[in-house]
Amino acid sequence: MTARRLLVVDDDPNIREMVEMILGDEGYEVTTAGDGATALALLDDWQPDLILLDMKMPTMDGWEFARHYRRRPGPKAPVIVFTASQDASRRAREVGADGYVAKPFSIDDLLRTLDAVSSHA
Amino acid sequence: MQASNRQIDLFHLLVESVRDYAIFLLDPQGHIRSWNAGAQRIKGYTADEIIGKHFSIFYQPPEVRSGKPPYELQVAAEEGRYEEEGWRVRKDGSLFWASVTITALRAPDGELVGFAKVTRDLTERKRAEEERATLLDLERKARQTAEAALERIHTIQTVTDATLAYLTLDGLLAALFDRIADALAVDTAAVLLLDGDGTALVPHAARGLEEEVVAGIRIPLGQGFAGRITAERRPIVLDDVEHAEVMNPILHQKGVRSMMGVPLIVESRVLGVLHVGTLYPRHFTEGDVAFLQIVADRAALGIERARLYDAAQQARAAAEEAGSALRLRDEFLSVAAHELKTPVTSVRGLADWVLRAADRGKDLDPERQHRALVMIHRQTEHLSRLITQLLETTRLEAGHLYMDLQIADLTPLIHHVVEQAQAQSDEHAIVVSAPPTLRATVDPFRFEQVVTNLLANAIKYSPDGGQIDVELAEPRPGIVRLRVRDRGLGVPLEEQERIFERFYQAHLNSHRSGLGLGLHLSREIVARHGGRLWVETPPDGGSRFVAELPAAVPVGSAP
Repeated sequence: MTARRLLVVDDDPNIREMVEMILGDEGYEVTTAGDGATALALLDDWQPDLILLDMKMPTMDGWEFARHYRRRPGPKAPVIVFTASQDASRRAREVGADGYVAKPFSIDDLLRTLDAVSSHA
Repeated sequence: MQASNRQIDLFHLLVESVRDYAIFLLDPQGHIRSWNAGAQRIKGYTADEIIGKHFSIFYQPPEVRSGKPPYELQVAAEEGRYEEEGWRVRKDGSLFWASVTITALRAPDGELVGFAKVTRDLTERKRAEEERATLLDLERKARQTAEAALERIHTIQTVTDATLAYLTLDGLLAALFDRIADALAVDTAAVLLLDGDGTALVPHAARGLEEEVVAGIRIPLGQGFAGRITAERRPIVLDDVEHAEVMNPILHQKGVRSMMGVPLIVESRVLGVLHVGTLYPRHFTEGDVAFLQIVADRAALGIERARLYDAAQQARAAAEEAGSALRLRDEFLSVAAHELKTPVTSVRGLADWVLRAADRGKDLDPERQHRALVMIHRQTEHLSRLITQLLETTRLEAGHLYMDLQIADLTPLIHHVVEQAQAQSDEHAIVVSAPPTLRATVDPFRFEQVVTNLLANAIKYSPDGGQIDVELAEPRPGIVRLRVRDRGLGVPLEEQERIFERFYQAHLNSHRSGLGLGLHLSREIVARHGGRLWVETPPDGGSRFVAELPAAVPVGSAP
């Protein structure tokens, strides 16, 4: 069995809910956070297998979250950048992510990326 | 006795033969009693011709008429002698400069027996003296001329320096006036330059005639003092301004009496006119005019240079502005793309999800399927609102935001918008307060947009939910007021104007979503209705947006 615990960090509540619906049906255990700071607080008592990270968020954006996350002690889950930016691959390189999903996405693409990243992890 | 006679003879001989002095005797009345060789040589008369004549024959008629000859004798009789230098007349009528001594001759008992007159011809000496004085005078004048010329060369040099030193037209002209006023001792100076199409002169800078620049006078080419100088490309001198044809009333008002002006020419192009004037009557000489023209030639070069510099500066500023407008546009396009993609992402994902289930022949839970459709509906509404904002902003910028004004009841319109907004959020309670009916002249579509934008903002900037109050009222007759109050983040005082700027977002740095157009567009729309939109900070938090507009739009406020 591959990674099943997923953290979705995205400021848009519609997208959070939508991803939760889709991946819930695919057997993922999905937890969501509206910004980087909320996500970091969650990680204190819960370890995801994968993180789906939006970049443009209020309070703490994706770049800052990634920086803080790398500095934390303990095991790290792979990070997948999840962005509507024109250049998703560049964003992924900027934060040293393991993969990226460009918005809007197809469910097949999303699932393929999740599988690929978790099997390499 | 013999010896004494001999002595007298010798004495006579001496007197008679002296040639450098006219020595002769007068009787007490002034008749000539003796004559010598010197007298004949100097005055031209022989002894036969002159003895017995009155000595006033040697004087010019005006002196004779004024009684000068007897006066001289009277002085000599009273004081013993009379001396002077003066013009005397020869037999041939010519004049000579004479040094004259008249001595009274008295017998031992004191009786006046006559006068001895000794005259010397000093004409040569006099002429030499006069020549010397003339030469001295000429030298003095030459020196003055040379000094003045040096002074003017110095001024020309400083004008040249000024044209090189000042890059701006104003700086150059101020420096120019200082130097001209000093060098020519004038009270006024002005530079008029041809305007863009070259049909009129506009005063650009003036000293002593500042009103001319402020008044924004335009002088047609070919008319008046400056107009003629420009058209005829030659200097003009006005000795008497009061009686000359001048276009500019300020010259008369300021009491300018005399003027001269020269054209400003660069490479055979006339740029305008430089003129100076005095508040007292003065005749400007050819030298003054020539000097002013030399100064003007250099000033013209400087003016041309300053104008080129200005043009270059303006071009650079325009390029920078265009560059920053482009950057702003690029940034905006990137933000817009991101914002449009966000609702599309939800719609695409949810539609995919429903389709996947259908393709697999799997029945979705009806409640979840309904939820997905509600979300799709909301996101398409949101998308449609974003696209409308983009279009409206583009129209606004292009000046094509036409208003379709009609009398409408605002109460049902508000209820409709609130219903839609409420459907977008489950965390906010929107409470409406409105009269049963409120009619006003509005563009209903655009008014709806304003209410929609304000409600969308209220929802967006109160992320923790809470009550939103929408109040429609007529606080004063003829005035319609809309207030939207949230209990969210609020707007800091220093940003309460900036939030209405195009592309501005109150929480720009925090990556809050949105195009940053809603408030800008809303304020413009309210303004087009003849009204005003602003934001207030209620003491207990959140923000309150207030739009006030006339119930009947005044004629002419809608394009």
